[in-house]
Amino acid sequence: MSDFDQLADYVFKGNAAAVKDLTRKMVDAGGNPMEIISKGLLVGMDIVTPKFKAGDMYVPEVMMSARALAEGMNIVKPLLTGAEIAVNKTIIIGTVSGDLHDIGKNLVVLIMESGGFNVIDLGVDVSPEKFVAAIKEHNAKIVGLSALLTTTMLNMKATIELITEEGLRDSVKILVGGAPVSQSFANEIGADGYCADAMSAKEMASTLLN
Amino acid sequence: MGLKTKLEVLNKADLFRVHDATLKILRETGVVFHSEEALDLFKKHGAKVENKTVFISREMVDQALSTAPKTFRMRARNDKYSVTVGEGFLVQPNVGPVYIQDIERGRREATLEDYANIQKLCQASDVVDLVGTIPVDPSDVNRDDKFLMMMYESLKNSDKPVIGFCAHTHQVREQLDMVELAMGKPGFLRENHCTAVLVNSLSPLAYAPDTLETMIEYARRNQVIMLAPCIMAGVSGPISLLGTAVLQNTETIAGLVLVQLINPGAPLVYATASTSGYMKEATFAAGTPEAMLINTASLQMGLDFYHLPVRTMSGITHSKIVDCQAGYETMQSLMMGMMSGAHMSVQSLGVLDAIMTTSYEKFIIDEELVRRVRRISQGIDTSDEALAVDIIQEVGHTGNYLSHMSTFEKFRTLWTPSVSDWGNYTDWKHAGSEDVTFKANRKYKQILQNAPDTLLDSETDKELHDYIAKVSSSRSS
Repeated sequence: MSDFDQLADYVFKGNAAAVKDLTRKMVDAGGNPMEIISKGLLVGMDIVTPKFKAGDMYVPEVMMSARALAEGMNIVKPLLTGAEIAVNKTIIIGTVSGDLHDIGKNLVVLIMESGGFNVIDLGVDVSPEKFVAAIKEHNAKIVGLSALLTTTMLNMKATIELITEEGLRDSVKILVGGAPVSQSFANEIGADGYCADAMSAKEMASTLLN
Repeated sequence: MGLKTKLEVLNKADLFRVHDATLKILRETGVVFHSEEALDLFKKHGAKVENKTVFISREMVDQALSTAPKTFRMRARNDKYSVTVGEGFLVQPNVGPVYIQDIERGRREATLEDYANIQKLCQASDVVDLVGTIPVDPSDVNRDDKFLMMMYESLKNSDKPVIGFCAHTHQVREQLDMVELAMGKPGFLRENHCTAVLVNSLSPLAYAPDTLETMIEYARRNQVIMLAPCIMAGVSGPISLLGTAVLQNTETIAGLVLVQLINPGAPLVYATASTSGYMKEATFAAGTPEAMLINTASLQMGLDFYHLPVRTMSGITHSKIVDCQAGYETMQSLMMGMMSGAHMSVQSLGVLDAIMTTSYEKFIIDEELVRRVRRISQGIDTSDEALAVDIIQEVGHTGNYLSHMSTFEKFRTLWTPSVSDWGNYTDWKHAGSEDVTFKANRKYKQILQNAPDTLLDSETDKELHDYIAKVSSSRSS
């Protein structure tokens, strides 16, 4: 098994310590950081995704894989040149104003990161103003809004309205998700996409960027 | 682990009242046995017999109860499938349906192929412990050969403990011979309980000729008898639920006395299969709340008073199709059966229309219901580790348990469904907005496709074929 394959396998198995050691070893041996990511770390996550979809892997296992991948990324990322950091893969995410629920949102963050996205997590109870400021600061192309409550999901609409007022609507794609959210609600408030779960959020974000 | 209480409808004093009522009826009214052999045996052991009515004394009952085993081992052809009867919640195939049903072809008379298919599903199932019996009655086999063919298909398609059929003496001998041939050692049945049979009394207070022939042959050859009165309160039993439980107990104890006279120590099961009548038509009603209330009373007698292995009829419905009614009646009855402490359950694998029909799709769905009920029966872990104080304090007020190591190590022990859909609406819609029945349909076909052609080695297969040919030809000559 090549080092790349071995690395991918460690990610798949969620073995964070082994991912960390092997990534370090590969970097020390002069390995190309971009190759370590694309031929090793992300390949491991590509094994996970279909298995999760097929119901063979469960969320805690996906999280372990994502965490293992993050260990490797932490070593390799600082070595990338400016040009290699894909700025257009930046995503702003947060739970909307008035809502303190973050388990689902954090899951999306982890999965997005495992897909090579640069995720700016604004946390919970994020006001429309904070979302707007973050879009400007990071020049993000995607914004993810989360809500668990039927009361707070209306603040998704307020957030989109402010983004529009600020003249940023055409430069970002907006994804929404959370238990009470639906495709029709997404359409109603003018979002670009509704994501039923973390995996589909990652896929939708990738599709929208391509 | 395990539930801390079971479902009960009688208090301790009631158990004595039911027992005393039983003794009074056995002593004063007696039970009719339509068999000279049985009557002779009772006479020989000092029972008062008038015509065909046997009056059974308290002493005879006490003696019989003292030799009936509390638990026993049932030996499978493949020993890894051997089971202990009197522990856990064993599941056996249905007994009696005439029709087979699926969503493509609807309801139709069952064939031997359907019979074999059900045995294959039972063999592949992780929830089915016993096989054989009559989950569907094959309509395309001549009556003389039917029992031979059913036993052959059971032995061919499964190596779990097999249940035979209530029939006439020569037919019972033949099925027992076939089981012994399959076990591979002459005389093996004398020392091992390899097969069982379900017998119903002829309520009220009688046993029919073929039933007695079956009981006598099984008891002589040391095989398992499941005594299962199938009384309809208000039709073949008193309208009071307690009265029907008394009648059920009386008929069971009468059968138990006979079996222990034939072969002291012979394994038997106190099986309860009564229900309330459907008084609009004076017929058998399935899936009634009262059915399991009657059987719960009887199970208390069998379990707590007589300390016998107990079986009940649960997982049953009167619905004609796999619909909402089928679901709730099946689960109501299965849940009550488990909670009443039954060691075995029958009619729990695809029954529809009050045991007239076995449905392929419902078989698959009912497997999941059994898994649900077995999970509930395990209760919860109450150890110090399970209190999880350290973990609760570690996670504190923010964060979550999804990514905690303790979750990662144990999450797969949480129960998950095999056919029910727990996914999100969008995924469900994209997958075709399917009713669970369609998923079950694909699943049963897949199991049948993967089933082995035979589980018999060619030598045993030949011996069984030769045996069937021999008895068939002797019958026609």
